[in-house]
Amino acid sequence: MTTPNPSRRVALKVLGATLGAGAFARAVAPLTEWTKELSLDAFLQKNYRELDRTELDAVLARHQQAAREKYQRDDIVIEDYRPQEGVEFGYALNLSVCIGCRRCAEACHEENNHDRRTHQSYIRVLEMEQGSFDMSAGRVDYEHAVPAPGKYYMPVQCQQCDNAPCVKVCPVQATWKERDGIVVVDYDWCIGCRYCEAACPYHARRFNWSAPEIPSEEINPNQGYLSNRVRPAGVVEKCTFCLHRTRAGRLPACLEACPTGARVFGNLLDPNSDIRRVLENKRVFVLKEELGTRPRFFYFFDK
Amino acid sequence: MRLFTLFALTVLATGCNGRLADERLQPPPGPAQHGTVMEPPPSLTAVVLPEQGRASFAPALPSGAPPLRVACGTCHATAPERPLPAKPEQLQQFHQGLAFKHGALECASCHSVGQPPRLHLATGEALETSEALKLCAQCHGPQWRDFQRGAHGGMRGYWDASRGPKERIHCVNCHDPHAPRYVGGQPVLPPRDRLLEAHPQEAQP
Repeated sequence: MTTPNPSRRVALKVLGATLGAGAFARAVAPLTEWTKELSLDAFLQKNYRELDRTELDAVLARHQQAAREKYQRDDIVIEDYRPQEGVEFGYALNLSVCIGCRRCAEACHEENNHDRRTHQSYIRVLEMEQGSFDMSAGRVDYEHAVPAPGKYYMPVQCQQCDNAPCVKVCPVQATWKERDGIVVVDYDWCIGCRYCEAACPYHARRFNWSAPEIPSEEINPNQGYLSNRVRPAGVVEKCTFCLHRTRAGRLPACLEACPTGARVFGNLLDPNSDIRRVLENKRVFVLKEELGTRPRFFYFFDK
Repeated sequence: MRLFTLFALTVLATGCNGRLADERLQPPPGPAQHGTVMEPPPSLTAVVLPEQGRASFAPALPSGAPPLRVACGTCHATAPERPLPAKPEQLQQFHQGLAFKHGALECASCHSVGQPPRLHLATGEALETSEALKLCAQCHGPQWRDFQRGAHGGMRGYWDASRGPKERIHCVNCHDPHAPRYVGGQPVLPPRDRLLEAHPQEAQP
C-alpha cells in the first residue's frame, strides 16, 4: 500500500506557511505606518499612566518642540496639569437664564485649539420646545436671534460621568477618570476605534477625521498634555472642564464667556463653594439619569 | 518562598496602578486669600442717545450708526437743577426717546436731583452710581442672593480663592436699568457638523 496521499501533506504545509506569513505580515503592519515624522521615541512611547517623571518630561518636551516648530510660536508651552488633593469638580448650568447664544461653544472652540473650518467645539447647544424634554428633537443649527419665543436652550458637553460608559468600552485604556472627576484621553495612546464615541449617551466625544487646522496666530499657547494641545488626526477628544485652567485654579473658558451667568463651577468637596450651594438649594437634575452614568454636570431651574 | 511570592505580588500590584496618578497630586486649595473684584460698570458713566428722538443739538448720525454715548457730566456739571419728571415721556429736551419698561417705577424712584446726579435707595439714602447693585437688590432679592453666590451674572477669574480673585460684573452690564429685560442677540459659531452637511433634511425635523 502507498502512504497516505502525499499531496495532502504538501497542501497542509503550503496552507500553514501561507497563514504564518499572513499572520506575520499583520503583526508587523504597524511598521508600515512608520513615517519620517514618527520618531522612535514616539513609536515606543508608553501609556501616560505608565510614564515616570523623566519619561513624561521627555514626552512633553518633544511635543512642545514639535508644536513650536509647526506653528512658529515660541510661547507654546505644553504642561502636565495634575489633579489637586481635596478637589473634585462639579459644573451646573441654569436653564432659566441660558439664551442659546453659543458663546460658550465659541470660547471652547478658541480655548481648546479646535479645527477652524469645521467649527469644532465640545459644546452643543440644543434649542428645545418649552415644555418638552425630547433631546432628539432639539436643534443645534438655529441661526435666528435668540432667545426665540417658546424655546429654551440646553448646552450639552461631557458630563464627566462617575460611571462613564466611554471609559469601560475603550479596548486599550487610552481614556480614564482622574481623581478630580475629569475623564481624560491620552491622545498618543488612542487608536481611534471610536467605541467611546458610540458608547457616550451624551454625544460628547469628537473624532478628529483630519488634523485640526488652526492659523498660527490663533493658537492658544497655554496647553495641557491631556487637554487642549493640538490633537493628531485619527484620535478621539472630549471636554476636560479645561483642566489646563481649572487645575490651576481658574474658571473654565465656557463659563467666562457666558454673558448671562448661567454656568456655575467649583469644588464639590468644599461645602462653602458656589457649586455646592446650587446643588443644595436649586431644583437640580442630571441628563439621562436612568442610565446610571452619575454625571458631574448638573442642570437647574431658577423657578 | 511564600514571603517572596507576596513581595512579588505587591510589586506587581503597585506597578499596575499608574505611577503618575499616585505620585504626583497638586496640594489642596489653601485658605481663601482673594475675594471678589467688581469691574466698573461702563454704561453708568454715559447716556445713550439712540438715533430716534435724540437731542436736537446732537450731530446727525448716519442710519445704522452705533448709539452715541455722552458722559453724564457733559451736561450735568453745568446745567441748572430741575425737578424730576414722573415719566420719561415728559422730557422735552434731553433724554428723549428713552425706552422705559421697568414696572410702575418713576424717575424719582431711583434718581435724585443734585450735583453730581446721584441715585437713592427707597429709604432716601443717597447712593453713588457705582453702587447701583444695592438699588436693584431692594426689589430683586432672589437675583441678588444668587448673584452673591455666583449663580447669577457673568464672571471671570478663579474658582479657587487661594490662587486668585473672581471678577464680577454689575447688574447694569447686562440689564439696561430703564428696560431691564435681557435683549439677547444673534448666536455665534453655527455648527458645521458632517451630519448636518450630508443630511440636512434629517437633521432638521
